[in-house]
Amino acid sequence: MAVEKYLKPEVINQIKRLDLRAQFVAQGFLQGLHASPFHGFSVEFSEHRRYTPGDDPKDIDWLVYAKTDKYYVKRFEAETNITGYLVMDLSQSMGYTYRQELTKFDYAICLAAALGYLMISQQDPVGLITFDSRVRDSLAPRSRRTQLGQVLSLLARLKPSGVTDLGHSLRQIAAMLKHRSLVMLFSDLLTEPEPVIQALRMLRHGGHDVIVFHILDEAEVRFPFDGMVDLLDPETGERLQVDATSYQREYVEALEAFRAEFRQACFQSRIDFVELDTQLPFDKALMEYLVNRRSRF
Amino acid sequence: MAFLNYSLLWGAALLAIPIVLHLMLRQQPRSLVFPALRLVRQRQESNRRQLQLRHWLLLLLRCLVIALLAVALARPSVRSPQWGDWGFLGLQFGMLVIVGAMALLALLQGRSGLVRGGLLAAVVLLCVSLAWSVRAARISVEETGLGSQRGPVAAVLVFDTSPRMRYVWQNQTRLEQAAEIAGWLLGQLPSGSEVAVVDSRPAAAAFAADRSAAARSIERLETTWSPVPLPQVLARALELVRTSSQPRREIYTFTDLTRGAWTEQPAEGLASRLAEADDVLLYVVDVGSERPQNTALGELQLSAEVLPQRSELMLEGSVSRVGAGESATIELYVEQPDPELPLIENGRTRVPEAQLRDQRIVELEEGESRGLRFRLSGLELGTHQGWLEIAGQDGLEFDDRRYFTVEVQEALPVLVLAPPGVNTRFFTEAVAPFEFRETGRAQYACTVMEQAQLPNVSLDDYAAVCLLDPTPLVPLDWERLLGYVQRGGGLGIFLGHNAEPSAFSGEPARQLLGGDLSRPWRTAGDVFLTFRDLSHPVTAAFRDVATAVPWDQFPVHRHWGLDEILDTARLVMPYSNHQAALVEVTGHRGRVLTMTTPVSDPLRPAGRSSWNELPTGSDAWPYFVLVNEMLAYLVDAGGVRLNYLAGETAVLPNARDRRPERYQLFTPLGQLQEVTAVDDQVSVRFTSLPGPYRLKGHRGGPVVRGFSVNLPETASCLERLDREALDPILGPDRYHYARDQQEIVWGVGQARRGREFYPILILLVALVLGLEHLLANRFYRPAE
Repeated sequence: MAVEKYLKPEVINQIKRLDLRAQFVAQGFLQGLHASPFHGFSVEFSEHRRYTPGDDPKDIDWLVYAKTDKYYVKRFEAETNITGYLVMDLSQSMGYTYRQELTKFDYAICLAAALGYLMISQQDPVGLITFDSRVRDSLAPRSRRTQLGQVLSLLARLKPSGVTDLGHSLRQIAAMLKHRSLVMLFSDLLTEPEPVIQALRMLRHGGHDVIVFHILDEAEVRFPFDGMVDLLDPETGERLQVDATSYQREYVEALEAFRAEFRQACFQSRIDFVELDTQLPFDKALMEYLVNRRSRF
Repeated sequence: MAFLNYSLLWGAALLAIPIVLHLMLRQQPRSLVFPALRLVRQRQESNRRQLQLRHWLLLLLRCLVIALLAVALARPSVRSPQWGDWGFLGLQFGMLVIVGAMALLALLQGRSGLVRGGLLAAVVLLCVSLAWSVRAARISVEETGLGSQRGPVAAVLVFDTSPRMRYVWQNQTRLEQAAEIAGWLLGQLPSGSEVAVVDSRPAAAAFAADRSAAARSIERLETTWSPVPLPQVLARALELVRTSSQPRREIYTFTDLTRGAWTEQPAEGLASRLAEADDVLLYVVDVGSERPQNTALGELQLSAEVLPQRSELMLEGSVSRVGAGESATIELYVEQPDPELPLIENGRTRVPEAQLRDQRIVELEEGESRGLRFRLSGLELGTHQGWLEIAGQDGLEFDDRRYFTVEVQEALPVLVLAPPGVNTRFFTEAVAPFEFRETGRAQYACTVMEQAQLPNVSLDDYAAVCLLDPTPLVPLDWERLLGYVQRGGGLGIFLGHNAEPSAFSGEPARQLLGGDLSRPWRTAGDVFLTFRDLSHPVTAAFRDVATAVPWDQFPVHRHWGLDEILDTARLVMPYSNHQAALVEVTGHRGRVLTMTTPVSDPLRPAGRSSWNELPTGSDAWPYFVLVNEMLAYLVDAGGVRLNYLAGETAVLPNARDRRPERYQLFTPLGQLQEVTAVDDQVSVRFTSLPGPYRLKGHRGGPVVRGFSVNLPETASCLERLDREALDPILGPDRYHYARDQQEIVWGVGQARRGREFYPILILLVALVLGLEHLLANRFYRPAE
């Protein structure tokens, strides 16, 4: 049970090492699931095991039962050809945190690391692509254990900086990917929606599965300011004065409209759109991945 | 509108504080990094507008609070009649502010054209309505001293001192009660006040030197017998109070609020003058009795004021009752003439003793008025004075007596001139019948002479001269007659068949005849006398029976025509063919009547036909009345008046050759005055006091004459006036009504202070403060 606490962002923040973070998040998540998430969608048989209460009866190997008169369940070795790409937005805005605890970027890395961990432990190949105005780094997908280390070390080195051009970058990525893959985008999407949606459609059209993790800061979701505020856009340097108190409701509406636009577009293109903020536990995001994975079999 | 504390209006300068705070000390926004700025930007514009609007709204409210507080503390007040105007204006202004704010909001928020247009139209409409109301309400902001109770005032105390105020109720006359309240009021006036006491006497009024002088004038107040009508006194008081330099001016009117006081003789334009001087506060202090009880004698009518000897005097009067019904005993007293009296003996005036000659008991219902009729006979030659009296006492004493004076004189000498062959009997028997002559009751002593005697008689010995059917006169005779008329004699010319147009021309004849004789008219017997104007003294006697006079039974067959009738001639009676029958020529001291047909023609004169059948028709009473009235008019007996109303100038004829030139006048109070006859007349101007006036002179022995003065009936009219009836006289809402001290205190307090806006303003301050608090809390909610 103790491991589950690491699903909470404020707890995981206390762990500095990213590999541990990934491990804790993933293990905490898995432990929280009553049934193994991996059952049923791997094809390669690995071993038989004595049935113990709690196993799914449908997994009982009736042939073995016929021969031995004992209950055995089949164990499967996960084996998949899903290639996952963790796509990280490096824009300056991702480095924002209102409470000075966990930036959106930290959250995204944590999530990405956990996903990477999960995938590696499933022996799925995982690659990593980062971009700002264009693609910066890319790590070719591998499913070896060492790949996790490489992914994590690269993630640990990332710093959010500069302006971003999501649409362009995504189009670039779409061009880069040769095989049918699962593209997991970590971004706050704070840019013009239309080019991004176009690019996402392009990705989808390329046959890729896409999960968009839309990560916002808690403050960006709730707009918890009061009185007159002078807001500064870290990317463009633009400033705006507003009366926050009266504006909160309108902001929330604007945000909802913004999210709805993406949600709608993603739904039409059968893209998974996961709305997250830095206060939400990680399991929501992880579950999304798993559901997506399962749906492919 | 006035302010109690003008200086506190400067507090409105504190308005600068929120404005300065708003403009200079603007809240510095917190600087925050916020990546999702693009989400903010989308709606930022409308937010900024709203923000500004709210800031301005807040500023407006805060300014409003300060301004309202400043105005409220300055304690504005208006005179009560204007309260409604100001309230209405305030309401309109408030609506204008609200609608204006809404219109501004709509403009800023970019609402649809319809909404904006509608709101702007409403603003314009309200502006126009407000402007119109300001014009219509004639409101003004001036220093009236309103709002403070203690500032000095200019007060004019108006007392109705008409005799009515002598009415006793609760052991006080109305005037005494008014004086009592006024004395109290005087003590209530703020120090430094100017006070004037004005009463119904026709004297000019001025402000008293100080308050004690005013108090003495109030103590000295007494009723006057010939009062100036109260509305006129009020108008005078208004003029007086407006001369004062005091900012606060007040008029206190003490009245018994009777119908007689206010409505008998209203002052023209008093209401409009009062409305003009709307800074003058007017109080009507009612000291009258709500249910007066009084029995009053009405004005007395005498059958004649100058009587022939031994004739009968008819007295007609009335008695009326105000209040509950009662029986009244009316007594008739006549003084026993005594040539020696009046006389001042041991400082006291002795007057002739009066004898009770008649008595009536009258039962009177509430509000009833009854006629009275007394007959008095057996009066000797000379002047007789007497009175009608209600026995006993009631609230108002002076109207329980009515005085009268009649003069019994010898028959008046009348000279009847006629040429030979003219019958004078018809005329003389009509004016002085045989039976009357025998009994000494005849009013006229007719002397009949031949016309030829005219140059030899002293015309001035006669009260009137009548020419019956005259033959042509020489110009000298015309001159004599003209001279006689110009000295005051009466001349009657009754033209007949003896006249000739040529002989009746010439200037003196024209001036007596009133025109030129043209030609004799001959009629077919269908012409007769008619009435034209019943107001002339000659025809006045026919007034009651005018339509029943059978003139058509007394046809006029012939008559003279009058041409070029003078401007000074007045047609008294025409014939039915519209020709002049009876003409009076005015412009002389004496009276002249010309008749164009004779009054002396017999039914069948010898050698000619009769000119008319006036004296000879059957039952010729119209002739009888007409000749008597004509003669009475000529001798001017109807002109002698011996009974006057208070305040009138009494004029008694006083022929210098028969009457004394100097008289001692004894007033009803027994005071003595010397009067001298001027131009054959004795004039007595000071007749304000009702009662018998006696004149005593000497001419071969004592001569006693006299006249009576009564008050007009309205002077004792105690009938109450409704308060509403004051409105058209003084203007509605223009005056404060009070019956006692408390009501005066209340009315004065309300009028001096006016109606204050303070409570309303403070309420508004509270409202606006609350609103401001609400808004501020909403806008600047503390961080959670």
